[in-house]
Amino acid sequence: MGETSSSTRNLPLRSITREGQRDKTLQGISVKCSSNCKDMNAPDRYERFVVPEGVAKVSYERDTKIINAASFTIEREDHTIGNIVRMQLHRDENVLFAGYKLPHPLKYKIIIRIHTTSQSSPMQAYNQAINDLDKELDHLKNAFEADLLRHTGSQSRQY
Amino acid sequence: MTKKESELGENLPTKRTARKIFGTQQISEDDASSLVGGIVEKGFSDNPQFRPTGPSYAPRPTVLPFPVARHRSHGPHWSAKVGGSNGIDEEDQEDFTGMNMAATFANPVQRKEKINLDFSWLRETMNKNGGSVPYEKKRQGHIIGSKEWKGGKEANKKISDGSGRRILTQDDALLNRTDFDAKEKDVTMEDEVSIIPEEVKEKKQDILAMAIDDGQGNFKCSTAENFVQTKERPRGGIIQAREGFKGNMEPQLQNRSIKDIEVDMEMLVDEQAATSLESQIDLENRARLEKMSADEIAEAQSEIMTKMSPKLINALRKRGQDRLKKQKISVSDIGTNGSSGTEQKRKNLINEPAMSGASSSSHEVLKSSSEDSLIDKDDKVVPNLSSKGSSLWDSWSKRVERVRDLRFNLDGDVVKPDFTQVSDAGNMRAHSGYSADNVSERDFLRTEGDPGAAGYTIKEAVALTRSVVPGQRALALHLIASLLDKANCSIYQRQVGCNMKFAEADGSIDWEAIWAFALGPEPELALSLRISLDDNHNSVVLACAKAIQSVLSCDINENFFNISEKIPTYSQDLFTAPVFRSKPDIFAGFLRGGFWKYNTKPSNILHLDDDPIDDKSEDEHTIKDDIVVAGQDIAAGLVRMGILPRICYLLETSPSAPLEECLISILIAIARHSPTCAAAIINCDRLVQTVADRFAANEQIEIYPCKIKSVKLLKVLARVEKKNCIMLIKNGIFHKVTWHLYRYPFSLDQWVKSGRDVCKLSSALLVEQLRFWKVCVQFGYGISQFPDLFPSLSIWLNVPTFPKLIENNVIIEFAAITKEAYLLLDALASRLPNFYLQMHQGMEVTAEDTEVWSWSQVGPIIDLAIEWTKVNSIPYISRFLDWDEDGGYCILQDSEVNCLLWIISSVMHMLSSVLKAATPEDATSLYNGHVPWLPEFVPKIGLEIIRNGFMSFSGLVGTSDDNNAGSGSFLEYLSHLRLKSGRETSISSTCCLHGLVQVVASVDKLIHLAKHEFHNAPAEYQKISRDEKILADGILHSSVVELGVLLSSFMKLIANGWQCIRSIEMFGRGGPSPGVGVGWGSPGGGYWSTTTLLAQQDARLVMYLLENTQNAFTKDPSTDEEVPVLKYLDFGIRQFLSRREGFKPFGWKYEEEEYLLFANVLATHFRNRWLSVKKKLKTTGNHNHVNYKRHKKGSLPLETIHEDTDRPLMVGQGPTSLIMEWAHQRLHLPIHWFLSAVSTIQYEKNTDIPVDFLEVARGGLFFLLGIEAMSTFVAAEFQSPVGSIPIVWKLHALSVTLLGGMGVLEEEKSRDVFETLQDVYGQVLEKFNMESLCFQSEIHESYSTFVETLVEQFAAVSYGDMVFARQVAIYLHRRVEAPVRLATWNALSNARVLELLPPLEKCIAKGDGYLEPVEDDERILEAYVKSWVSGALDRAATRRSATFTLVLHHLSSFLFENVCDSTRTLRNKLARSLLRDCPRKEQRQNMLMELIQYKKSVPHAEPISNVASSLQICVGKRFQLLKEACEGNSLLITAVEELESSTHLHIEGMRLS
Repeated sequence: MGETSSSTRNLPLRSITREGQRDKTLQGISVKCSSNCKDMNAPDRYERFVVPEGVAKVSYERDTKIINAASFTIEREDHTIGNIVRMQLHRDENVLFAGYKLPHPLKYKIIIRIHTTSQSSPMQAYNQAINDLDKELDHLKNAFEADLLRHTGSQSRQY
Repeated sequence: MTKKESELGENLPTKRTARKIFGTQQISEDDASSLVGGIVEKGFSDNPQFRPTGPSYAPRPTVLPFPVARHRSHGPHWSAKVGGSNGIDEEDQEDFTGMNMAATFANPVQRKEKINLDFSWLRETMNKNGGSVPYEKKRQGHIIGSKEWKGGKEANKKISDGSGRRILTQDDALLNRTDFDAKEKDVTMEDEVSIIPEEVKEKKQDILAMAIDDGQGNFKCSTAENFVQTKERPRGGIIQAREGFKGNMEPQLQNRSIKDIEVDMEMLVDEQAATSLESQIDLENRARLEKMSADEIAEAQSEIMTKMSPKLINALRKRGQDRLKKQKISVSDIGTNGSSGTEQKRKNLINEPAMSGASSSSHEVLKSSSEDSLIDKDDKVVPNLSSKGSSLWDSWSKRVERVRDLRFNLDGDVVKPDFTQVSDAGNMRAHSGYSADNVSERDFLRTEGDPGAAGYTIKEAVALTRSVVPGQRALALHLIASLLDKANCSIYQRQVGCNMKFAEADGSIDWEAIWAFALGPEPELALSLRISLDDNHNSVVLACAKAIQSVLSCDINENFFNISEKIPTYSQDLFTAPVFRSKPDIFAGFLRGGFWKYNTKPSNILHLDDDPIDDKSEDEHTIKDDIVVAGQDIAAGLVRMGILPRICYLLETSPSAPLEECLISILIAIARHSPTCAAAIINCDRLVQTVADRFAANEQIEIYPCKIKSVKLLKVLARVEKKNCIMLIKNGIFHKVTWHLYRYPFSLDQWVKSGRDVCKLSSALLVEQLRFWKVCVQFGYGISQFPDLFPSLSIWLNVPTFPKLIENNVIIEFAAITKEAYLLLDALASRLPNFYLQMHQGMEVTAEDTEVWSWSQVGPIIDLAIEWTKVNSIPYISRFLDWDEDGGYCILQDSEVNCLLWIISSVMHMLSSVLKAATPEDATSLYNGHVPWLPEFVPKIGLEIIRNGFMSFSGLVGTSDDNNAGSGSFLEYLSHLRLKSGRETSISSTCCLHGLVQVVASVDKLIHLAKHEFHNAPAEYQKISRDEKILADGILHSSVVELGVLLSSFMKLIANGWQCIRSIEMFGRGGPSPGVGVGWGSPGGGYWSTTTLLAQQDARLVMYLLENTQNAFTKDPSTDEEVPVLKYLDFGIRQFLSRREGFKPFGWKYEEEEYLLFANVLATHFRNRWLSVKKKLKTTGNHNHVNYKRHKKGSLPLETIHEDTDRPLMVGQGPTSLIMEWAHQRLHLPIHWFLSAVSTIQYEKNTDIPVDFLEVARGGLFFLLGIEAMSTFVAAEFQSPVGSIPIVWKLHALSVTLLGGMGVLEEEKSRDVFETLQDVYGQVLEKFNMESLCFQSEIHESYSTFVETLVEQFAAVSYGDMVFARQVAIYLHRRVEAPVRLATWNALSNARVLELLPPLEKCIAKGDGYLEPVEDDERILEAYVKSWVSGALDRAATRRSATFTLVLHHLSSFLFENVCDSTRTLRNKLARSLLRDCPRKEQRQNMLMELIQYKKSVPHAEPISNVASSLQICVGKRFQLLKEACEGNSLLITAVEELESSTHLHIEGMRLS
């Protein structure tokens, strides 16, 4: 995952109950392809990443049948986020089940389902996973940049 | 001869000079040799100067229009060489392959150079080198470089241009060194073998050709021509042969071009001795021609034998043996021939379970079915997975491929190869496979396979139809026709349903495969037939027409339709065009049984000629397209090739009677083929008109068979579409062809006196005419003519004086007419306006231009019909009314009884139609709910039925001691007949029963409606007789007992009826072969068999009984039928749960509303899923289907009725066609239809009503569990179809439900049902623990993908649901195919949900099934280790999931138990990756320790300390093995040592505790 995405995406993913914030870096991209796609009924391409007005980026729904189970719907994301979050959740001792699915290739959202032990809650596990991911990615980024600096520094020293 | 020469002669100066001295022996020989074995292409000369320069190919049609009838001899054989099976003498032909390749690719110039290469120098030198040369020819220095090989005459001619010499190649010892030698050896062998056969064959052929011609009587002209040839050819052949032997035993005399022979002649002049003998021989030959007998042939043979040197014979014999041996080896290598029969058979048997679809895994079937399937099972026990994997299609194509080598004689019989004789080298007969008796089979017309073998292969025969000699063409067509006829008959005689159980070893001939091969695309039979039909020789045309007739299986088709038309309820024929089901898709859960499609697209049948604008189309359309179409569907192909205009032309040229008959038969078959083909006939200019004109042309009373067929053709056309019928009526054709009906009514005596043959013909014609009329009536036309026709009809309607008929033996003919007349009246009666409607509103003509019958004409007819109900007075039948159950009887005159039964059945149906018309449509609208008055005939019919002992009324208390007591009723008699007699009588008796019950039910209903009269007069009521009392009480009600017996006996009959239908759908495309009719080559006629017809008829009767006699059985009928049915199911489930071990009853109950909901949802679903028609049709028929479905559910054994599903889909008032199509619908139901509710994800996008699939699935689960539970209560003799569906399908269906979503599991009830089903199937799995679960081969090829999707779903949304997990875990069962297991494991591992699977104890079926036998698939073992190393198993280990147990078990067994060298590398690899991984993590270390200590748990067997001590021993060994696996890697060894110490600690700890 690139550095921009790690810094920009983790923010909205945590804003669960708030109204959906649009990813500001992506707002500038205009709807170029809409004319191309007219003859098909496929959704416009910007639909993939622009969260519509009035829709929460992340919404939370508790499962009524099972205790400590819930599903999170994350708008305008796909396997990139889904997989990484799920794998992070799997590392959590308290998570009994974590899975995500893309309900439909043209519905640009993912649904993450979490089931935890009584020591935790889905919300907690979710937040924990996001935080940990943030940290890890930050660390990755920092390490990368440090190394890069060292590399370029050593290169420049050579000159 | 003359004809051909006149063709060729123009260009052939050399030949003309030869002809000058025609009549002398030399020339006659010359002429003969040009014919013998040398079929010459029409319009192509043998002369090299005039030969076309281009390379010659096999006649491959590519362009429009049809090519001149080309002949195969034009083309070299090599391009037509067929792969594999032709490899018999590959070695012999090595040198040619080089040439072949060159010939294929070379351009003309190059090729010519190649031709002129003279190879003879090479040969010359070699021959000189060859020391022992036993021939004087050789000594004289004649080197003859002829190149002859089978079929390669072209090359022969060309090469002999250059050399013009011959080579003698008798000494094989030295010549073997080169390719040429090999070839020559081959050739000489052939020649030797063929000398005698050739002449005799020629003779025989021509005689046969003459015989054909003579037989037809009308083709003397062509006979004459043939005759000339006959005279010349054989003589020439014999002379040649003679000369050959006299002069130095030169064997290669046959098969030469003219030029060769000229050269030869020059050489022969040298031979003084030979010439002196020539005249003698000639005389002898002539004499022999006069009277050819077997003795003489033998004599000739022996004579020749004596003249050959023993040395030569020995040499030849040896060569022949070598060659045959080689052949044998190659054959067995290829495995295409019968010699490898035993192995084949075994394979067949192993494959058989897969073939017969369900039978393998059908436990019920296996239990009670024949030995056959038991053998299957035994075979299957052998874990021969590889052969099982080969699909049904493979084995079928192997069978078809085997046909390629079969050879047929002129009668269409298979000529067996005589390999067995080879071993007996003692006599001359043995080595060549020829003897004096069968030597006549040999000739040079063979193009493939073994040229020395007898008979023709199919392809050779087809090629021969393009011969230049008319006699040969006729002969070949004759062969094809008889071959196909044989195949057809043999297939038809086989049992329906024994589809693929073909065993080769019993020596039977695989006619299905022969049929399939002949009609398949490869022989291009359609093209040849089409070309032959254009022949200018009448004999050929006739032979061709006969062949086409056989191809279209006209006769057998007509037989079937003839019977089916006798059934009064059989309203619609089926089009015979071959169809196939569309492929299953995932949205329907891969459930088979999609829509039918035509093998050929209907639009492909007629190519648009009238498209001049698009000139491209002309280029694009080639005959290749035609051939492709014909390969898919031969009738369509013929139509596409324009057979119809040709037939029209032939009919216009006033053909002979037999030809005309053939042509019209062909037309009938085409009209029955499909709507498109029927339309093509209608649209073909003048065709229909010509047929009608020819019918009317000779206005004599005399009746020809072709007249009958003409009427039949018109009838079929009229049936196809309403507008055809209108057209036929409007242009007067209808009247023209039915004028016989209007003839002045003569008396029956006259008819009888006219003689039996005349009676037969006139009966057949009248029947067809009546049928034609009936068709019109069914469309609503021609009704007004009834008054005119009635007088002439009435003599048939009356009960005749039987003795006279019996005396003249015309009773069958008479009965046929009578039956047909009543069927016509039946059709008329159904056009009656409603009796009460008419009474109230007067005549109200319907808006359409169709007519209705009027009631005024009905009266006398009813009287006539009632006469027929006096069964006592009808001979043959009355006899049986007194029959005694104990005494028994045998039906001697089956056919007479049968035809009389047909009359009664049609009379009954007629009466019931009339009664139906007399029944008020809407009882509630009537005054008081009663009819004001009853027509007189209603009680009259009722009373007649009571009086004539149709039923015994034994259920009626107090009246049982009447006159009828003791003797059986007619009803009993009929059901007895149904059980005991042949097919057709069974059908007719079932029809009779049906009609009887219908009439009785209608009478009852009417009486019931009018009953208030009786109530008003109770005093009178007391006085009425018994009969009237019965009538008043309701006849059905009075005979409840009898009806009950009837119903149960018929339910038994149909309970196993589903099995015969199953085999019809064995293949994807068009059944076994793309034929027409008779089940497209499936045994017994498949769907078009009397078996099916009977099953349908039985089912109809049962359904009618169920629908209409409920009132009789139960005193107060329930208003809502659906809910009780489901209630019964529920009851059954509860019974099942409480009785079976290991099941606990549900803690809840279904509510009434739920039953109702399920009933509705299921009815809608099944209707949409299986009964909907692809095109949007009128939905008028739907109500019917609701009923139908409901009743299927209603009576449990009845859900097996697939046969009846071809109910008319358009039962509305305006049928536009009386023929149904297979295409565009899904009927008949596949056997697993009830799974559809469970295993459908998304279906019918075009349905208007949104279907809640969750509801459907829940209902479906309930239904499935219900019938599963009920089927356990069914008596053993019923093979429940539920039980016979493979368990794989059921498990799969459950999985599909989950693929759609979790909804099913979220609801408590359906979750319980689901789990119970899992348990039920788990038990089944354990019970039949030998079957493997072939998801991939059984359900879909890409089943792995399906499993991956399922696991994905599981990983995404399940929350680790236990029931879902169990469902997924089943795919890890050891008996599941390896690819599916692997895919499941990988998907689980990738999704990191291995830990979600339940512990092994909780999986479906017992855990042992998952563990044993030990895994041996390397990929799966690797996958286990990969999951281990990647950490996917960590949590599974902590949670004790089944996956971890699996890995422990299989890995420890693999690493430590079954130690052998073959698996060493893999073992070491796996062990090392486990060890390398372990030091990093404590968790893994523990897991590894567990692996090392793993022992399959024998629960609570020993105290722990004992276990520990025994463990220590084996653990030590295991560590040793691990160390070995490290292969000296010190890092790993330290890891092992670390492990060892900690393990010891662990074990010590265990012991202490």
